[in-house]
Amino acid sequence: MNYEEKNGPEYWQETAASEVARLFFGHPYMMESLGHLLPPTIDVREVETVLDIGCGRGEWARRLTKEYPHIHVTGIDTSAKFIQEATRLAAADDLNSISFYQFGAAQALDFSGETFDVVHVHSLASFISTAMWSRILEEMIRVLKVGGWLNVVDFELGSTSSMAYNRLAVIGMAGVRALGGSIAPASPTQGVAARLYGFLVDAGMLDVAYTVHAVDFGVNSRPTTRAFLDDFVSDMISFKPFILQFELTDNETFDTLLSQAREELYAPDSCGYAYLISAIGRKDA
Amino acid sequence: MQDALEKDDLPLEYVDLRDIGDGQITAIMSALQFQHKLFLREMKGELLPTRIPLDTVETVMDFICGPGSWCMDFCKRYPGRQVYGVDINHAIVAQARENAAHADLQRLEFLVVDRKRPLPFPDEYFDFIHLQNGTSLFTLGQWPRVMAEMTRLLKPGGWLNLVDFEMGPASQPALDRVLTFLAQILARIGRNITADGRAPLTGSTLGPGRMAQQSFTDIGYALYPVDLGGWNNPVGRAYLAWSVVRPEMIYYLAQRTEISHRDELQALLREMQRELRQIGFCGVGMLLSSFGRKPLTP
Repeated sequence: MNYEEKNGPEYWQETAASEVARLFFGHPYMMESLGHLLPPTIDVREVETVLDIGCGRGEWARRLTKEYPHIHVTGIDTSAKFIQEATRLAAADDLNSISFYQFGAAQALDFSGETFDVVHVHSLASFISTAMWSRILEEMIRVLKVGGWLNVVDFELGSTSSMAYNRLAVIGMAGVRALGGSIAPASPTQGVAARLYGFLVDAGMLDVAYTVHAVDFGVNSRPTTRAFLDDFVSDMISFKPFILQFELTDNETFDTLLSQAREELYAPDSCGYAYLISAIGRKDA
Repeated sequence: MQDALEKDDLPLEYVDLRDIGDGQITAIMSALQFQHKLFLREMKGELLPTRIPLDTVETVMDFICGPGSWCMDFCKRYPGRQVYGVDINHAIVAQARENAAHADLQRLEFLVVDRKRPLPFPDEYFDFIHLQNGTSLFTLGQWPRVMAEMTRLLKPGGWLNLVDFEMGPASQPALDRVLTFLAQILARIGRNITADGRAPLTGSTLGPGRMAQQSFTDIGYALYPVDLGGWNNPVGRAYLAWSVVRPEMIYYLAQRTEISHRDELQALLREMQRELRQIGFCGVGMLLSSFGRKPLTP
């Protein structure tokens, strides 16, 4: 069954699954794993305006203005709920040089050309379907100043020592693929992270490069891993209705796998990882 | 592919992925030496986990030593220890001996062993055992025996270090398809841990658990992401092309496991080799180094 055909290419970002995915990929642990807010190639002293596309609840945007108060960040997301929460959280932190807007992924960005020094996108794959890739990339480059940097970061599953989790990951990826969220022709991956670099090369950007980072799932690896795994497991629970709806597994199997995965991921000898790929390119005159 | 055809009698569970191809073992040796350089670069030049104290280490084994790159580097950097390079492959060990003879190293010996028998060392002989590429050599079913043997050979309090590479996502479509073939091959030869057998994952993440099953202590691991693409990364690209998706290896095993039609696969492998030369190519993998210590008291 081809869900993409049945539901149209915009279906993936309209599912609750896409919101869950965005929160997961935008988790503070991911930023920690990346080891930086912006790639060191970008000279932040010269950056004044930043656009954060798919900002979720504004976690990254808040961190950036806290660390570099001279930067103004604009965060946009397709979810009205996230924009509301992002605005509230920024106000609670008393942050002024930050603003959030809702946008429709299918529409042009509501900014004039050459507005931003940096455009940052984390986990674009989680909120747009693959059919929309070239259009959104064009838009991102349009709003970037000449010589400004585009930074795209995305996530890809790796492997873990938990067989139950590995099975759940295969089931989840089948769902992502069915919804048009995967661009890998054959392998059980989302396929976006490894393509970011090529997208920027093909778009004719300058100084294109990328770095690879590990997201460590080991409970003893960092003090924050346990909190990440807690959120990770509850995110899987919110994925459940979506997995059942598309008959990727049955209720009982899902519950059994999840409780096994939880036990295995929390075992002292547990081991696992995922990938983050961060690609950058500079806009050519 | 004459040499490869002679190996057709070897049961699949004993296939050595390093020793498949046109009989030119030297080319594979170069690829393995190259792999050592790449891994060492990714691990910031550390030959063993910093957690392992070297002051008490006297006797060392490099199990599955390949052309001897790791044990030769170890001997140079930490002289005075007795080091054994051990492998199951005659041709590879012959090459390792030749390499070491040129380097004029003291207290380094190479041995060929039969993987179906216990290794020719007494119990509790080693302070430290280094085992690299074990997950692509041994089947999941063979691992409990391998771990029991490593445990037998280690002194109480001795350290084991397992180092394995796993392929991750890549950008180009033909390579993506080749990787699913590789995954199916690995599943047929008992070296794939995935539920659907479609990702080429050999079980590097099982290292810490395998040590826990032997009641090891001080278990830990470190991750090193490996870049295999990019316009400015010939080292990573060459490792991918010469070792991970070496066309002779994939072709031979795909025929033996009957996972793909000959013509279709040949065309696909040619397309993949073209893709690997493109500027916009990106591919990544993960090097996982896990370590643990045999308990001081049984």
